[in-house]
Amino acid sequence: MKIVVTIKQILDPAGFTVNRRRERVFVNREEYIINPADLNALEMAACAKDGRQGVEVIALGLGPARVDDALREAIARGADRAIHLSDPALADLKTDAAGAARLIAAAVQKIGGVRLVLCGAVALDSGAGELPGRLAEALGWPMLAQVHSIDQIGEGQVRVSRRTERVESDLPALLTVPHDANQPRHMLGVRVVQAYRQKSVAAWGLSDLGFTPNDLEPLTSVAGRRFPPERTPGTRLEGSIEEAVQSLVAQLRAKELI
Amino acid sequence: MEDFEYLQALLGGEELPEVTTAFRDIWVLTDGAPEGLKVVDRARNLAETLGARVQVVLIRGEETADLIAAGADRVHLAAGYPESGADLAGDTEAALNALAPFLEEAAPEFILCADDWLGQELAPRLAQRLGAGLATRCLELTINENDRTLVAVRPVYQGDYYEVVNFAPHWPQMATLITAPLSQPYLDPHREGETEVLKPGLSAASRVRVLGETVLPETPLSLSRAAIVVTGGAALGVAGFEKLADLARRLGGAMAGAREAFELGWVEKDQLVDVTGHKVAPRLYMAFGVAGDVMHTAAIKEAKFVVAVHPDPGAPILAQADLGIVGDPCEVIDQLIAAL
Repeated sequence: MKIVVTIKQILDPAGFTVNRRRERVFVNREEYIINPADLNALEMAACAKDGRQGVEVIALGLGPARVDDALREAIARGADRAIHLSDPALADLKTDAAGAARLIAAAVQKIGGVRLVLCGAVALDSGAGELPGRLAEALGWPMLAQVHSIDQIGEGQVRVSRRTERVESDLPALLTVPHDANQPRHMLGVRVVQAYRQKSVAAWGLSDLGFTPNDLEPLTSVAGRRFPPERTPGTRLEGSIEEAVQSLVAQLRAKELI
Repeated sequence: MEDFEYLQALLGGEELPEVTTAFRDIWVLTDGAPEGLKVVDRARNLAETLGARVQVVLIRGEETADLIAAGADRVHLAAGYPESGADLAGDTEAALNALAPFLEEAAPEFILCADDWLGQELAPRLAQRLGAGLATRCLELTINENDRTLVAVRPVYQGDYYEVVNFAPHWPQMATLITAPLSQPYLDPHREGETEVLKPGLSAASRVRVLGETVLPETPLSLSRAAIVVTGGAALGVAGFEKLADLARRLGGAMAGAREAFELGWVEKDQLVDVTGHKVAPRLYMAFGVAGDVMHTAAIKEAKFVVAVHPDPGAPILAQADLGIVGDPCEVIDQLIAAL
């Protein structure tokens, strides 16, 4: 059985600072990491492989040349092989989630025999959570969102636990995995070395998937940045404890912190 | 000519171009939750700019009065569909199969919903079926006056900064809204609107079945990954830590202790927030009875929002916090738990 895990490479938030007063993002170190929730998806796939014969985990990434590193890291973390969807024509074309979903769906079809696709529920950078749903539709598969664990994989069905319910779905299916579903395992140094020395990452271009750049005209595009108001020096909440707590809760809710 | 345009802008008389496509009106999807009213209110504002109507698809229940009072011109009831009586609000796939053909035929210009299960599970799939562009978790929606396209502002990197999303001139256009910062809408009891029973075209069996309820065992969140960290210090007292643990559970965050609390044996080493323990970077950091020496504040400098409670008004942490309360931390925790 083949399981595909989608891997998104994002700019490491530890490497940049946001200056709200000057309305700029200063990138101190341009380093990239695998989207954290994708690591949870990868861990879930690796767990499904543990103690079972004939399960193959395939990491699938879309993007420029640097994504190769993310895919090799995915191999070091338990994927059996990786496929990199990359094309010079895509470098200029800023595709959106709709286009990315169609490309990834085409790649999943081309791999053939895939029973499960696992995606991180939300990407840390965009915070959108748009791709998994679009991908499920592009594949024509059912989707189970926010899956915490896979309980059982049968011939035609998968049983999973979400936060409050147990759910069954026909296979093939797409699962999204939140960042608190599990604790991704540590990477062994030797596996990293193997991932670079012994493994190869297959590269598929647009024409391999039957697309031309014109097919992927984006429906939405990022036009610029805006900055929240600068952090004000701290305020003390006055009044009785009761009033102060009411005001605290209201402010935290308004800022979506709780 | 320029003068004329300037004058027109001053008078606010700038007219939007007329609709030239078959796509009409702003549609709101809601399951009857209060968030839906806020979205209807936003849709009403946009509708005034656009000269469009607000149409609502109510997926659960038949409470249309508030929706109309908040600004809906027409409410389509999906309750009772399919005839088997299945609850569309509980089954994304059934809702999708029911709504997608209906909306395709209705050809909305814009579709909005709240960032709840509708926004997170249904909206991306609906967008793909309708061939629509989508901006999720928006804070602000406006209309580009040149071509009647949506312009959305949405947070990225958990609100570090915002991005502006433009839509290509291709309809329908979809957006989901973060409703928490939106104010409660004004409900006009005299507003009039129509109600209609939705007749979707097809019913497809869902490929997803709920087997039963489950409550997952809680795994302690590691400090470095927690979005919310609540920390206790010496001034909280050992009895306060039980309350603190309860608060952490309710907030879905992790409990930690400052160095004094660790030295007194109130927390474990892996719960220590200090330069000598863990550095943390949560979205929300709450310190109860932590004085806040340099070793502590250095360990929390990446925290996005800091709340501090301390009985001593001169405690250094109060000067560093975004919000501070001078008072007994135990009492504040009790009140907080009651208020959540």
